[in-house]
Amino acid sequence: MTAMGTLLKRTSAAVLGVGLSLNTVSAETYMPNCYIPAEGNEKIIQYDAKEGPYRVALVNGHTGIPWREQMIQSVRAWADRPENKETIGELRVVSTGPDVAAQIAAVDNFIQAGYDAIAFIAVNPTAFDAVVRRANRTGTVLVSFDNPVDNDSILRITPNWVDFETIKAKSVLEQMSETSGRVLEIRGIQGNSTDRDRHIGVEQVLSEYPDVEVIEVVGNWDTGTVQRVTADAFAVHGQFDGIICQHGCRGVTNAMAAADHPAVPVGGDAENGYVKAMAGNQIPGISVSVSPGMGPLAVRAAVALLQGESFPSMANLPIPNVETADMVAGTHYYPDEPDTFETVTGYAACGEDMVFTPDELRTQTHASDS
Amino acid sequence: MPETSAFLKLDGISKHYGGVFALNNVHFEASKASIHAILGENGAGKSTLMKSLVGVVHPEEGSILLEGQRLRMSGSGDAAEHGIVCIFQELSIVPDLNVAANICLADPPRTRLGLIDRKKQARLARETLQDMGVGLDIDVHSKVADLPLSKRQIVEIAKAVIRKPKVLILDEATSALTAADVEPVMALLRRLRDEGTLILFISHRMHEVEALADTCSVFRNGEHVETFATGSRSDEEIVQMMIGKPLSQIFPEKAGETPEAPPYLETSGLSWNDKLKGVDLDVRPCEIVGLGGLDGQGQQEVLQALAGVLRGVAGHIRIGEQTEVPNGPRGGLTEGYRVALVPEDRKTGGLFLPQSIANNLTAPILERISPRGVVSGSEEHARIDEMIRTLQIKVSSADLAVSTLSGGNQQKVVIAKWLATKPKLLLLIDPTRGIDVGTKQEIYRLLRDLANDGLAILFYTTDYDELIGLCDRALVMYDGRINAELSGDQLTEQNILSSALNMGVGAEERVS
Amino acid sequence: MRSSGIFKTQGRTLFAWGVFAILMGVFLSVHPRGASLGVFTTWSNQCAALALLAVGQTIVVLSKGIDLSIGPIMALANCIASHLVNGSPSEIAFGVVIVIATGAICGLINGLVVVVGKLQAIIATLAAGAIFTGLALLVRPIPGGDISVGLSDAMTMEAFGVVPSAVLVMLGAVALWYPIRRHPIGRSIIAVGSSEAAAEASGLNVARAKIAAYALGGVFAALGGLFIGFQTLSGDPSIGLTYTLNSIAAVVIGGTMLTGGAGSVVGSIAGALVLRTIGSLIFFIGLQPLAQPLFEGTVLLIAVSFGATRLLKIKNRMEVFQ
Repeated sequence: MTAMGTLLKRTSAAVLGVGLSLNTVSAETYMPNCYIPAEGNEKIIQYDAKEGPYRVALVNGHTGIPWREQMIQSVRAWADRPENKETIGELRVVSTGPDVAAQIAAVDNFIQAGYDAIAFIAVNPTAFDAVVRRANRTGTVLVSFDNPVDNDSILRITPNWVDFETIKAKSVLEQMSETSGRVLEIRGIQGNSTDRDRHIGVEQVLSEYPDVEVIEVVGNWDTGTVQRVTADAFAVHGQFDGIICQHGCRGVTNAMAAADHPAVPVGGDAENGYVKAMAGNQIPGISVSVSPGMGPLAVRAAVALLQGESFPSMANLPIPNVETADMVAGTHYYPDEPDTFETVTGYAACGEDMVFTPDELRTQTHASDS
Repeated sequence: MPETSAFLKLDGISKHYGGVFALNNVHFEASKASIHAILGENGAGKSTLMKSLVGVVHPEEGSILLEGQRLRMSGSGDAAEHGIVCIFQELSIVPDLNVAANICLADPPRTRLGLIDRKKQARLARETLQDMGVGLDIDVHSKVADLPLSKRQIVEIAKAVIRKPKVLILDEATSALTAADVEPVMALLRRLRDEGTLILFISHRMHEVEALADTCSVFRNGEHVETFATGSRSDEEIVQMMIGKPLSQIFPEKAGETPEAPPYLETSGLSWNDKLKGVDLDVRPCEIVGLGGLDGQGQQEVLQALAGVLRGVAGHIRIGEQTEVPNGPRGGLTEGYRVALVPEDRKTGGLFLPQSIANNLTAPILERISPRGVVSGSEEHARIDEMIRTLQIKVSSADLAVSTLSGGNQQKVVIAKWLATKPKLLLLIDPTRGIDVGTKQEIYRLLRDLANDGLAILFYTTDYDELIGLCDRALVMYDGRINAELSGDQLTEQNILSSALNMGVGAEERVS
Repeated sequence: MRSSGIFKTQGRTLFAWGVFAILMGVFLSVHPRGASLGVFTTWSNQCAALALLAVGQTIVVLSKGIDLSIGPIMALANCIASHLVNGSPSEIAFGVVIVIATGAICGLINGLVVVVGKLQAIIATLAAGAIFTGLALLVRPIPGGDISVGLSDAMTMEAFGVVPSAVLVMLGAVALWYPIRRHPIGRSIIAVGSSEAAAEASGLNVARAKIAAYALGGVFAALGGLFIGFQTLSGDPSIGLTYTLNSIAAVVIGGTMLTGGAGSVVGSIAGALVLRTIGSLIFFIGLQPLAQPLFEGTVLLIAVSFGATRLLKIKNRMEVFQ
């Protein structure tokens, strides 16, 4: 703990010299309804304003995940809009795969190449302290999102996962016919901090329902796994009165259809397949989204930082959600899009420019890289 | 028994591999300051004896005494501690190090920091070569891998000499030397002897033995036959001592007369690198021709050249209608050649040991039994059954792994595999090595039957009995040439050995 | 005479450095900032860990072995470093010593299994690698920890403001190896790799030479893990994944024969630099980093083909298989 303290002190000392200032929360930060200062956050991130146009990079880690692909497309779509073309002189997108050293090398390369801002999803959120220090030395703006790094001297953007799952669990339990019974909780990859926080969210809600029994299974956020463990749970425990699923929840609706399970309330993600099944089969419940629109949000924040705006060191995002009764085709789900399409294309609460149509995302190509 | 006087004494040494004695109760003595030659046929036990002396081979019985002390050794490091150093037939130099590093390999000079002193090392190496009086043109900084074989041999000798051994063993160590270097090396050996070293000297070059050795010991079948002063026995007597045993009657009857058909194979002036120096031979259909002589006189290279394995072969070759060698083993399968080479080591070059007998048998003819690109099952089975029947391979099922068969039956599988290609010329390298007598007999029968059916067979064997018993003609090779062609009455062990040792016991006159 | 001799004996090494020089030239010409100290520092930081592993792998390969656990040893060392290499200067020094000792012990285990257990190196080190990975996961189940910021700065920035420290680290690796090479242990490692039978017949201690080679390989792997720690300021048990094969690739590009005996540490460092510079080059040309294996593979193939020209000179076809 003391080592951490010294580390922070050193870091702030190092960055002050290059024009970055850290204040305690007093002034209003940029778009506080969108970039919501996280609970307990006391730091403000602000850089000296710079003239545009800016050179911006997006560094992704893991590849082959539909969410990540859509996120990259959203960033490209946003940067491609006429009003942003002037401020963003250049956008480079790279995916480095699961190798943290390669990702560090990529960020370092962008820093060395003189890019103004770099938004990235860290493969390993503990490995970026040295990179952050190098960026601060050159005055490069770093924005960490989705998987926030353990370093409060840069802006980090992420949903509040406890609140996220609380919304979901609350909706499921409120839509249940009785305040007692059996609920299935389908968790994500074990040992991951996101899974841990989401589970805490569920527990918080359930603590108010002493008569509800909870069965936990692990679905690893993967549709196939979720479907298998749900089917197994049905086979072992019979019927459930409610189901709370973290991600890959099309597996739940598939398993329900296969087992002829009654339409009990289900809380799940916002993938097209899941939402379609919920609306189509009139399964009561809720879709809660962590949108790939987080990518453009992060890039927009990077631009705002370059323009001299201030942000909390840790910013949480609004949590878009919709219950089955309110689901509308073409808005909340898309009959013609693949099952993996994220139905919430962006954070509407953060401004109209944060919403994308499926067509707009589809037309983005790699050509916009340079 | 003057036990104390013997400088080096072997007392009842025995060593066997499987059921075969490499050394059988050997008693042997040699004295200080002498050059002592060890003579014997291939497989007489000479190399095993030398390896026992340097601790590489551990005899099951008996003891080795040096200056009255019993030696216990677990490796050549120990032997060198006792002052016994061997220059092996297989070179013991490290190809990737330079000459100086090799010469000083066992005990390099060090700086005060414990690091190798390269300047001193180079100086020592140069001094040693100068002292030896050979290899003065060798750059001690050059990598040994870049040196020609003859120079490597000199490095090998220097590496031993620098250790100032009490007993220096040379196992065919002069065979690779150029003629110009032999004389200085011999002078060096004489000088070392005069300084008190015992030199044990294995050589097949009789004239070298006669020029150098003070004493000779003859070995046969792992036994010490006799020790005598050089010059006290005639060459004939020595050869007789080396042969010893009567010829066993295990061979099928020979054809008797030279077949009339024109030769299927003819070569003249066949040469390759420095291994073949102009080989002239021919083989007719219905004829078994043997290549004999000491190991490594070019016999294998002749067969490999004919099979198209060697690159850059010079000279004239005619096989059937063709005047060029086939392009590798695959080329031998093509129409017009019909050549099959049964390689030396059946375990590496002849068989896929873990695979089934069936798979092994049909490997070279897969394309012929695959009319539409797929191996035809019925065709394959028919061929396999036929092969197993004609060769009397003793198997319970063709689906067993080849490794489960006895050595003799494995060899039959190798031969069958190549016979399946319907060759007209069959080349074999030592086909009966390591096979029991019963199976040997069957293989001899098979080869003779094949010859009677019109096949031309050329094979290399290290067993003189086979040359005499099986072959219609024997070609004895020496130093990359055919030294003698023996047939009929001239085909005797004595004549073979004389020609093999290049002693010229009138072999030329008796060539038929 | 002398210069042509150098080309003959060090041809493969010079070839690797030549390839590197060309790549570096292209890299600097496409880099938006061109040649500058900062660019060199970033670049050399990316190279150093792989260069250290390549040196370790070279020593093992010289003894005619191979170490497939070199990446896992590096990861284990990195995880241990994230616990121990922080705090007061004496604590840091203690941590560094423990990390290096860990590498040596891992290598020693490899050597003993190969020599005493008489297992094939490829299997023995593959299995050992799984064990070392397991230990790394025990030491640090999820990435994290803490590494001395001061030491990290010293190792990843510029020394005296003029030379990237990482370049000095790589030079240091060479400086460490050369005395070993001139020591009888190093000599016997090369002798064993060149011809084990000849080494045995010459009375050298073959077992000791092999074990020493693996132990030295482990030490360099640990140094690599330490350097990764300086780059990331944390420990990560999965860090070694790509390093094992890349270290072998670096060795091959550097001209060391996988058949042992012949090769050079300096060449392998060039091999590591080539691989990493390809990565940077691809990055700045604008190709996706995921295309990197394709280009690395191509360079590897060219390097191996260069080494295979020997086969064209062989006159006996059967020797090709020996």
